[in-house]
Amino acid sequence: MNDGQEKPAASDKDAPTGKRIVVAETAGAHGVRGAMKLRIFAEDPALVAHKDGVFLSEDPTDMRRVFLTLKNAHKDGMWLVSMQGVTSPEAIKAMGRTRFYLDRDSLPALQDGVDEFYYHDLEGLRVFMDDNGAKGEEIGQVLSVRNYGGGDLLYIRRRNGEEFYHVFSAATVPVVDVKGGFVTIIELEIL
Amino acid sequence: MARSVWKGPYVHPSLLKKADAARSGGKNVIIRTYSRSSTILPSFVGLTFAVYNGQKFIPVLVTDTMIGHKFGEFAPTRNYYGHGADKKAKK
Repeated sequence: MNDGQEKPAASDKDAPTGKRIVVAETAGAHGVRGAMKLRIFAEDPALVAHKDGVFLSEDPTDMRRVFLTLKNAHKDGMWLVSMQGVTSPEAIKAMGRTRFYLDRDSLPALQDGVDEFYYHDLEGLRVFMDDNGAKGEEIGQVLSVRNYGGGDLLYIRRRNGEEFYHVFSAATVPVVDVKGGFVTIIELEIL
Repeated sequence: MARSVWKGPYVHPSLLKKADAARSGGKNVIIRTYSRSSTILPSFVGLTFAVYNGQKFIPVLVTDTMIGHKFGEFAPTRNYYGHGADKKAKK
């Protein structure tokens, strides 16, 4: 269906990756009509009700998929959903703990001109010291991106095995090149 | 029991000194602290602190919404990493 809205242009930051990311996992059955409790890992819960369905495997060659419909929010941050073709709680219980995946390329496109990146796009990037705007010495790799309430942080492992947190801001991470697979950082003086 | 108002908020004295030095220096520095119980003051806004969580120093970029909270609230000692399916980091 065309709702008349133009899709935002995909930028270099949204180049096809072929990766799948986990968006939700089952947390049990609810009621007697086949509703499922779902723990959703996405900021936008509507992602699990993607029109093309969600995959059952992280392997990009495995095309098994299911179609979920969001019903309403449940306690503890969970959501109640229904799965197409499933009408009994026994069927949900038989699934056990199942994870649902979505293609990285199905995520909404990031805005151009805004320094915004998906967490999982930053993971695995090589880390270089900033040398007056150019790439300096390679020091390690980004293990993950975390946020404990005090801003986004890159969790970096140095080549000698030491791990540390680095503030993710324009002043401390001047260059982020997702396509090129690297970031440059400026280490702050410690007081 | 809540802390008496007449005492004012608790802040470790060394933290106040370091914050003054960081502001007067004008450089982008990170202030290391073990004082998780210190209160975040309005004068700390814009500074970056590295708060010890028992293992590592967690950087905390202080914003105005953090005023009145304790530094320890932003450096958890137990971690659940979860999954950042569509989480975005903004510079």
